Formats: sequence, C-alpha cells, structure tokens
Amino acid sequence: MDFKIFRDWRIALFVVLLVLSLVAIAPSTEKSVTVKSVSSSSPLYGKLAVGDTLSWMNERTITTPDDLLIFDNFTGTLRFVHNGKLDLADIKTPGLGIEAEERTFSKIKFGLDIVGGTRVLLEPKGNVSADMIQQSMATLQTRINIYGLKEAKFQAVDDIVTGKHYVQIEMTGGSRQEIDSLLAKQGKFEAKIPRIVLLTDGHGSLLNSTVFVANGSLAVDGRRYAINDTFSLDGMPFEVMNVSSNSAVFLATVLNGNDVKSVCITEQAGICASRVQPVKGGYQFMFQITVSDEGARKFSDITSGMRSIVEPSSGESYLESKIYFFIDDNAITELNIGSDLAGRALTEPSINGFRTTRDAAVQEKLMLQSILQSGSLPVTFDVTRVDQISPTLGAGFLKSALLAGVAAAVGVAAVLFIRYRKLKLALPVVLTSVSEVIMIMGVAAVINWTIDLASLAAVIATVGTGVDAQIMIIDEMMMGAQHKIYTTKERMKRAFFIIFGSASTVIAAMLPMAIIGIGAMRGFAIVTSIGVLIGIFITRPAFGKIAELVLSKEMESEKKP
Amino acid sequence: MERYKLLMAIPAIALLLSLCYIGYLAAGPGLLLDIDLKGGTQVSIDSVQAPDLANIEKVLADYHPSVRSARSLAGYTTIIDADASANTTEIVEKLRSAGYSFDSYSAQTVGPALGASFFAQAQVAMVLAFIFMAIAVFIVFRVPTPSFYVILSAFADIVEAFAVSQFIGIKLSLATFTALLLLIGYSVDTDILLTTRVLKSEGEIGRKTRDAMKTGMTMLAATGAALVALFVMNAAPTITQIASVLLIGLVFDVMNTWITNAGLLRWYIERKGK
Repeated sequence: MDFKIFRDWRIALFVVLLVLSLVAIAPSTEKSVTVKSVSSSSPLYGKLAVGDTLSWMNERTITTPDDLLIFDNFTGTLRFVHNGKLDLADIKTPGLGIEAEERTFSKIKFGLDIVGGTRVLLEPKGNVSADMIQQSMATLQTRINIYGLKEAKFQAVDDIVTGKHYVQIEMTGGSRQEIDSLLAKQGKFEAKIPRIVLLTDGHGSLLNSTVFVANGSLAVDGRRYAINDTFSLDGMPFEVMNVSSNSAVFLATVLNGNDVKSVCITEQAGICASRVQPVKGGYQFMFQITVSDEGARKFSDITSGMRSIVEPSSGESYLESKIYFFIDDNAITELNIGSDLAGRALTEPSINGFRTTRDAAVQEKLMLQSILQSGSLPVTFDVTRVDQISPTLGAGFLKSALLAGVAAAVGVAAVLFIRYRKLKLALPVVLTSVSEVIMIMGVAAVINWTIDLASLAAVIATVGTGVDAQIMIIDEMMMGAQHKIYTTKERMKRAFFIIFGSASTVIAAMLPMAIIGIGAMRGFAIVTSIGVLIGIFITRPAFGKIAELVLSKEMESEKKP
Repeated sequence: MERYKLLMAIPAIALLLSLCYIGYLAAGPGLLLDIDLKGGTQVSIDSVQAPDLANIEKVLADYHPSVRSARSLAGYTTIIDADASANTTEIVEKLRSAGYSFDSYSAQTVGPALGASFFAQAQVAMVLAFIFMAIAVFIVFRVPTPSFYVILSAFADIVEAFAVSQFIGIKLSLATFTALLLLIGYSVDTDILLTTRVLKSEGEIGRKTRDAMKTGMTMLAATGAALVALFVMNAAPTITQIASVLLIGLVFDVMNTWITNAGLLRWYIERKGK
C-alpha cells in the first residue's frame, strides 16, 4: 500500500469530520420559537408538544416569544405551523396557555451555569431505593404535565462513594419560586366510572334508587336534577352527564385519594407486585394497589351488572364503561376494566397495561402510579443544594469566553512564531486546535451533550494538550532531521509514541472521575476524554501529515544553497 | 558530588515544605474550602463600579459574611460567602435597600452534608486518578524505575500547586480540584517526552536532555500563553480559578521535569552504565 495515500487519507478524514461537525452545530437561519410548556388547559394541549418549534400562526410569522402576545385575546380557529406542519385548533376562551423561548442560535446546548436558571439537588430523608427515586421523578414530571408548569429536567444522581441517591432538578430560566411551587404541588385524586342506566318507559334504577325521565327532565328517588348536577347515593358522589328518552348516564366517583391506601412501587415477593415484563409484541406492566373497604364496595356497587363488550382487535372482554383518573378535576387518563371484575369488591386490585416498547411501558406505569398517589411524592425530600444563575451573567459569559479563546489562540500563535520563525508552522497549529474545538462541539451536538462551565474547562484542557502534542511532532521532525538519525517514518512514530503515552495517562486519570464523579466533575472528565480521543485519532495524524509536508519542503530548500 | 545531584535538593525541599504545609493545614487551621466542598451560601453580584467590600460586610454583618471581589472584562464580580442557613433573597434585598443597585445576581446554597460528601468523592477520585495514571505510565514504558520518576514528578506538581494555591488563598473547590487533576495530564506530557527522548534514542544524555527541554519549554510557553490569556480575560470565576492553579502547577512542572526527573534519569543511566 502506498504510504502517502494512507496519510492523505487522514487529512481527508479530518476534513470530512470537520465539515460534519460544522453541520452538526450549524446555526439555523430560519427564525422561530421553541415551545417550553403547554398547560393542560391550553386549547393547543395535545396538539403541541414541549420542544416543538412554532414558526407561524394565522398569517403571522413567529420569530420571538413576544409575537405570541397578540394571540392572548384571540378566539376562533387558530392555524399554526409547528415543526413545519400546519395544524388547527379551536379557541373558545382566550389564552394560548403556552410558553415559548427564542430558538437557540446553534444546536449546541448550553448548561444552566451559562444560560441561567435554577438547579436544585434534593436529598431524600432516610434510606431510599432507586425505584423510589424514579417514582419521585415521574411524579414531578406528572405535576408539570398536569399543571402546565415550566418544563424542568430531572436527573437521578447517584453518589457511588457514599451510596446516596439524589434527584436533580434543572429549570432553564426558572426561578427558585417556580421549583418550590413544583415541589409543593399536590393534587386531589379521584377515579370515576360512568354508569349507563337504561330506561324502560322512562323508568330505570341506579344502585337501589329509582330513575325516572319524562320530557327530558330527570328525577332520582323523586328529586329532580339537571345535567352537571351532583348528588350522593350510599356515600357515593354522582354527576349527571347525559339524559335521553331511553337512557341516563351518571358519572360515579368510586375512589378518592383517601380510598387509595397504598401503591406498590417496588416488587416484594409475597407482599406486593410491581413489574414490567416482555410479552408477545411488546411489554406488559402491572402493579398492585391497596384500596379501602369502602372504595372496594363503591367499585363493586357501580360495576355490578354492567354490560361487557369484546374488543375486536385483542379479543379481550371489558366492561362497557372505563375508569377515568382525575387530578384536581382534570381527566388525566383512562383504563379499561376487565369484565371479570364486575361487581367484585377487591381491596388489592392490580393495574395492567401494554406498550410496544419497554421504555413506554415503564413511563406509563410510573405515570399511573404517581396519579394514584394524588401526585404526592413517595418520599420526603430536603433541598440540599440550590444554584440560581442569572441569565445575563450567562450571556455576558459566552462573549468573554469567546474573547478569551481568541486571545489564547493569538498567544499560542505568537509563542510558536517566536520559536520557529515560520508562520507556515504556527498557523496550522492554531487552525488544527480551532478545528479540534469545533469537532468536540460537533460531538457534543450529536450526543446531545450540554456544554457547561466544566465542559468548557475540559475543552481548554484538551486544546492545551493538543498544542503540546503538535509542538512535539514539529520538534521530533526537525531535531531528527538535524541529527540525521531517523527516517521521517521513524520520527513520526516516536512523536506518536509520546503522544499516545501521554493521552493514555490523561484518559486513565479521567476514568475514575467519569465513573464516580457527580454532576459537573463527571462532565469534565467525559468531555476531556472525548477531546483527547478526537486529538489522537483525528487531528494529530492530520497535523503530522501537514507538518511533514511543510518541513520537508523547508529542509530541501535549506539543503540547496 | 556532581552539580545536577546537588540541584535536585531544591525540588526535594520544595516537595517537603509543601507536604508539611498541607499537613499543617489539615491538622490545624483546616484547608481553605469553597462552599461546594464545605457547604454554605454564596451570592455573586456583577457591577460596573468597584464594590466597597468593607461596607458590604457592614451591611450584611448579621450573616458574618466573607466578601471578596474579582475584576472581569465587563466590570466587577463581588462574591459573598455566608452560612448555608442564610437566605439568599434576604441578602440581596438587604444590599438593595442599602443602596446597591444591580440587575442580576447568582446564588448558590450547598448543604454542609452534601459538601462533605462532594469532598469525600473528590478525594477518592483524585487517589484513583493517580493510581490509574501510574498504571498507564508503567504500561507505556515497561521499565519500573523511570516510570516511577514520571509519577513522582507528577505527584510533586500536584502537591506543590495545591500547597501554593492554598497559601495564596485560592480556595479548593470543584473547579480548582479539576485543575489539579488536569495537572496530571500537563505534567506527565513533558515527563514522557523527556523519558522517551532519553531512553529511546542514541546519543549523549546531556544533549538529549537539552533537546527535550527545548521542546518542553516551547510547550510550556504555548500552554502558559493560553492560560495567561484565560486568566487575564477573566470570563468566569470558575475558569479563572482553573487557569491560576494550572499556571502555578506549570511553574513547578518546569522544576520537577527538568531538575528532578532529568536528574534522576541521568543518575539512573549512569548507574546502569557502570
């Protein structure tokens, strides 16, 4: 194989990866806003998701969050373009109920310590399992979805050294108050089942009471009710939903927060079940709950004698009514009731579900579990760390960091020029280092890494060692030539022995931190390792080739006179 | 005794002094720790004018704060440290009502238990990092004695940089701790360069060392120039802290590479030659 082509191929790889990195981080030219939160009362709820880009609304281009303000009092049909697709929504009461932010300049995500916001670390009281931590995060996420709070990022943080578990909450642009309100929110849980009462000649029965409908007006046990009226029978609240000549529909509240005694979070053999397991075509989840005797009786009363329907697709038989879960009077989700449960007073029912992926099954299970607990946290938390970073500090920071970077590059170039007196050598070193920064950012954009201060420090670190390695390459080439001891190939081999040697020690030193470090320290170690790997496998070989080209010409021209 | 052996007394004394100083701090007055490692509350305020530190301390006397300030490109950053129990909103309100005006501030509160756990973790990470680095160096050279010299000089760099940074009042934080870890990388760089040049090439040891030193000094100057730029620009306290600890470490690295490691290597080769 031709050696030269092999080397050139390294330069080609370098160029290709540089271009790919630039594409990965490329700033978008099209202006739009990103949706940060959608309240459950929003007319766009269910149509618009957090993270969608919103670019157009009723003949108006949306470029900043302020552009949404004019729709504050809008009612009627709203046409909007999200993620490039047109959608419609009918707005009856004014208010969009969404929050948006200007789309970030490039695809690189910057950490809270740069863009500003609030980060809180919660420490659970007492010994808490990893399951409890997962459940707590699901509960907090459910609260955000239900109450339309500002989007927050949750992360389980494990301290391997002390064995403690923490929950980290980050709210970009959020305040301490917003996190406090997220932590304080607790809802009122209710499970409701509609009961259809069939009428014969206007007569029917609900529990032990008589239902009578004449000329569209309804009476239960002789008392008259209109639609949406509520009443109580045998300690069970009812709401009138619908009345027709041959049927009446009542929504019965069969369970409230007090009726749900416990929700099984962690599977304990012989005590309670909570699991996700693979089944044909996907994953099934199930967990048990404990219901009060009163709750079990209400469930049995309302489902007793209810008709069953067979779902054609699965062949499963369910009761004609579903059970609906409400938090603070908002319907959150619904479940089918197996027809074998009709009229049975079970105090330990289990809840099952199916999703095609394991992840979705786990999420759905966690969501249901947190709803059944009224959105209350399964463990008590102490706020053990709070960071509030002002956004202006963040913005100013990026500018000064960029300036500092330019100053550092100029400084390095000056040193190299003084030593070698050749711009042809100094410039490639600086340009290679700049490309290295771009490639690290490219990788960060691809793996969705958040660049925080610690990551930036890591970039500085790798670029610093990168410059050192390039100086080694140049000197190895020049000195080897002076002493006429080695061939070019041998010289390059020796330079790379040193480079690989020091790179492997750096990665070895970062390894423990990448594994045990929490938060910022871990990020530092990981970014440093990424940078070092990019360096030794991509930029250093390419620079070696460039140095070889520049220096061999120089040496030849020196020999001539 | 030859001159280079005498010269090695200087780094030996420096290492000893640094170890003693750290030992003294750990046993007596305690290490200077930033709030992320010991717990506490920190409020940073940006202002265009130079802050009146004494007056801020007087206004916030109830919190027994320690106040310091740093210059940055855009102006000044005032850093107020207080106990973890202090309420950051109250501190800010107190300053505002005392006539200080500022748009933005950053606040950080770390519980003492969490700080202690971070510190424990940092220590474990440092010890493991050092062991892993040592293993890597042994694998690279496969000769025990010169590998040990490389590790010794990295150890000396870290200990001395830590001692001096503590002495001049730079608190140990996650950021400065990171810088100490980074120092492993920067320090080992030049030591591996030196050891490779001396062990793996032909020629007289003095010339090989001088050649290696020329390369090493260029590396130092380039890294130094970049760090000084970062330090002077003062983009963020975190980065300034990292830059200053690294700069201190690099100065010691000159001594530990080109006096300690070079001397020991020369001694080793002379002994082997006999």
